[in-house]
Amino acid sequence: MAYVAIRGGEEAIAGSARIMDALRAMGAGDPIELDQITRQMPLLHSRVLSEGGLYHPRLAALALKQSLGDSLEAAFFLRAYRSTKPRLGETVPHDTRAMRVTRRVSAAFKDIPGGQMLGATPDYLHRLFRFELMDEGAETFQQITRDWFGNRPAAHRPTTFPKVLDTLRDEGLLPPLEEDDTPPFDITRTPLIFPVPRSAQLATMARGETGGLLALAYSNMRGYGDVHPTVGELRVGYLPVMAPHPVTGKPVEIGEVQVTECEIVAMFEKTDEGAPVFTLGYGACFGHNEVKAIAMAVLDRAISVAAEKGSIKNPSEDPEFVLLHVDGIESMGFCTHYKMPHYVTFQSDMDRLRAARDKAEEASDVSN
Amino acid sequence: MTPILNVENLTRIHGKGCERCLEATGPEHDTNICPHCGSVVAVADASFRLHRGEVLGIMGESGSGKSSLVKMLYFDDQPTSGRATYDLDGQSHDLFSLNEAQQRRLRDTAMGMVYQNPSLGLNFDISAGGNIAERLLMSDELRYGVIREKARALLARTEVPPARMDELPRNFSGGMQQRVQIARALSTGAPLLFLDEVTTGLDLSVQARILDLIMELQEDSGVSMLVVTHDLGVVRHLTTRTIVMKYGRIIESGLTDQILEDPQAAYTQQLVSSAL
Amino acid sequence: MFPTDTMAQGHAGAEYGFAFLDEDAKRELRRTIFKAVCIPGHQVPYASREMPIARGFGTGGMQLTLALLGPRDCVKVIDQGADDSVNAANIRAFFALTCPGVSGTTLTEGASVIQTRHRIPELPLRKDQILVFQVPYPDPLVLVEPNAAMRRRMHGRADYARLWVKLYEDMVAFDEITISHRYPTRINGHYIIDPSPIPRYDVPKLHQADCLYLFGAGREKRIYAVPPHTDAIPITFADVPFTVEEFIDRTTGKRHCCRRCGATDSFLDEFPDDAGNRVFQCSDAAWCDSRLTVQEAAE
Repeated sequence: MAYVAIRGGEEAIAGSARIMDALRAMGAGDPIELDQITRQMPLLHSRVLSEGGLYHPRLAALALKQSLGDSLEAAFFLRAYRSTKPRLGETVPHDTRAMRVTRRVSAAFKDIPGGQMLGATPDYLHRLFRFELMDEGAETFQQITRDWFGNRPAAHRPTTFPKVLDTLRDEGLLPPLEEDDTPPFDITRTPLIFPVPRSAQLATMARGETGGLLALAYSNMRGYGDVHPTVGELRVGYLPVMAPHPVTGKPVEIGEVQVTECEIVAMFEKTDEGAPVFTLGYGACFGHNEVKAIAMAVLDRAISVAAEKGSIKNPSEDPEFVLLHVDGIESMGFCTHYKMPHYVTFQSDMDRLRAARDKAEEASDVSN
Repeated sequence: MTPILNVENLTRIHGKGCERCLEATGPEHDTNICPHCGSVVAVADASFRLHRGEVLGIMGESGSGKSSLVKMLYFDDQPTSGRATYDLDGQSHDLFSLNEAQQRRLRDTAMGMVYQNPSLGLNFDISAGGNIAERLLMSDELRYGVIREKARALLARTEVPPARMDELPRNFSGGMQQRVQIARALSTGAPLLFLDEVTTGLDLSVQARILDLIMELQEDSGVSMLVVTHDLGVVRHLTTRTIVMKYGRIIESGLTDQILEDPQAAYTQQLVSSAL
Repeated sequence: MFPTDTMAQGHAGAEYGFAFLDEDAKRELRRTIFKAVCIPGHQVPYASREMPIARGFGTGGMQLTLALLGPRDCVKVIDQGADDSVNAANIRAFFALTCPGVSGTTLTEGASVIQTRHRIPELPLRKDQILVFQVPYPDPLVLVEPNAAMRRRMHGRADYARLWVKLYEDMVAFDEITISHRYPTRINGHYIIDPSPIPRYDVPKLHQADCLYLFGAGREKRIYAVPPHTDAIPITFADVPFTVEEFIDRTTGKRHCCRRCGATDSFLDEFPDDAGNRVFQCSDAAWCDSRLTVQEAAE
């Protein structure tokens, strides 16, 4: 009963904080710099940005540093920080055709308007250790940088591209885009009361935990569901952020955010009006996180299919099941809370068990 | 004397429906699917009365709309249009103008339903007695001792061994599950009972015993019953008056003996002769 | 994970406003509290901001307390009845950091707002006091119905028969109602609440109290209330009385008493000491301390 012995919890907590600090300092050489986290672990950093739901690259790096590299904890720092900030305004809706693209692929077509662009991806790298990285020096980085810029051909490619799906839409194989001016559901200001609109579904998944989204989407891909996706287009790049000018009200560019976007095409459905068309799933998140964007698109489709058919057959199709369980901050917190003292409730549990055992004994005494 | 149940022009269309749904479907068109909009006309313009203490049969093949009709009256489904009034202790309830809470209340205390599939009428994860307790609790019986006694008596009355009252109905035979459902339906002393294909899928000997049980219970309590079935034997055994449905329409109604001996509609003649 | 000492030394004062949350969030919380008080026992949804303490550690209670605290308030925080258990200490440190001017106390009678996890203080609360509960599961119907949309409808029409069926099944299996804590309690004759994981011992204190009880579920994003002088009845059968924990010594047939203050009328923590004996001690530390003080004064 060590918990009972902790009288003076404040000292214990202070002690724990000192150990945490010592852990990251002792024998660790120079303190890691925020730029090193951002530059050398951009994918981990991306994950924190997207799950934190706040695009603040520098604070995301600080969060990783302060949380000793725990991505769930780091995302949590950004969320908590966000709670203290008032809302200053809203951006206009963005067209991702305006993205400065660093990578785009389509699994649907061999070639696409503007061309496939593999960009930075570990997809086709062998997972074989490069043991020389164990001993890199600053000069190695300088050499790599010199080689990259030195051999780089003059920029002759465009940086923005049309959407692959536009071709399918022009042919009528996809449902036409409907103009919808409904303000999006704001999950930071409104609790999810089901049923919720698709914008709430997308917003919740956009800051969902990568592993949680992946597990649920994977269950659908494996057979607990039947989305059967084709990646119509996956793109990674930088999206200019447009906000209304405070005086003129006209949209002006206020910066850019790195975004991963995935559009999946799923099997066609019969429609009420006219010929059958393909169906779509959409995924997007801050930073470079392709697995998350694809998983989100699959789940978006899975939930929509069930809603259209009016019957939920698998967990991944149930909006309540998916949306209430993919948030890393909530699920991690609740899992962690079981470490806290529960001895009052346990006392009550023992009381009930003893009473039930007494009754059982009485009953067996009577029958004997 | 006012009928216990008065159903007027009840209609249920699945799908978006159009102006021509009713005129383009029915027995004379040999379909219940509207050729103009593809909607399914499950029930169209059904009107009938159920008198106090009467057992009324609703007969037809699957897809004739007979189950849809009963589902609406038990609030499992909403009608597209039409009206039904339930006369309870001299007070008339306009069923489809009640709010959800009022409908629940009426259904929990003053109606009983026995489904063909016991898993619809019973919770398989709670004991047989618990299933009956639930109905009693819904009608505000909060004495544990009384609930136990009533459940035991109801199960005994429907010939379920009291020793099995604390077992899960999941482990019961089909016939026994139907007995528990009947006990549950009877538990609040509701004056109106709906029976939807209650003997379908059971062994013949079990069927006969359940029908006998229903007959006895009806004679004892005078409960009014609406019996949905495709089985002429059930109609003959239980009912005094019968309605015949096809493609959502009532095509014939009258005394059961008359309908079985001297059917008027060609379809009924076919039904009756095919069973002989 | 939250080094309170480094936070205190760091930028907290400069970067964070009074009571941490932005003012819009506090206004929303206060509106939600009003609604909860107006509809006793009804779970009112609210946005629920992320706190810098993990979900499940009392973020719902913290948001309520932060929205309630003003400079003249005096706050007490308890967990398992004690002021100095780790979680209580941590939350109190956070209030001290973010609510300059607010005073803290361990005395039940000295606090205007008390935030608690799992207990209601032994000392009856006054009409000028508010007790804020940390709630892990706000909905008692989750025991019998997983679908949230369906549960809302069931609450609306006070459709609780399935909860009673659970009691029935308990009686059948054990001849006892085995719900030990989080005992479903009917408020003002309509809504049934989950009173948070308080022991059954504390449930009767909810009934017709002088103080206001507020319940905050941060992760599940619900707030509900038991206002002063409101009926709060634990659900049971007419012929099966609701019982509370008894702490009877089975060898003597008498009630165990607190090893510190000798109380025989308080909720006790039971634990093995180093010699392997079971010992009992008041769970409410402030209550136990105040009894000891009185005894010492008398000697």
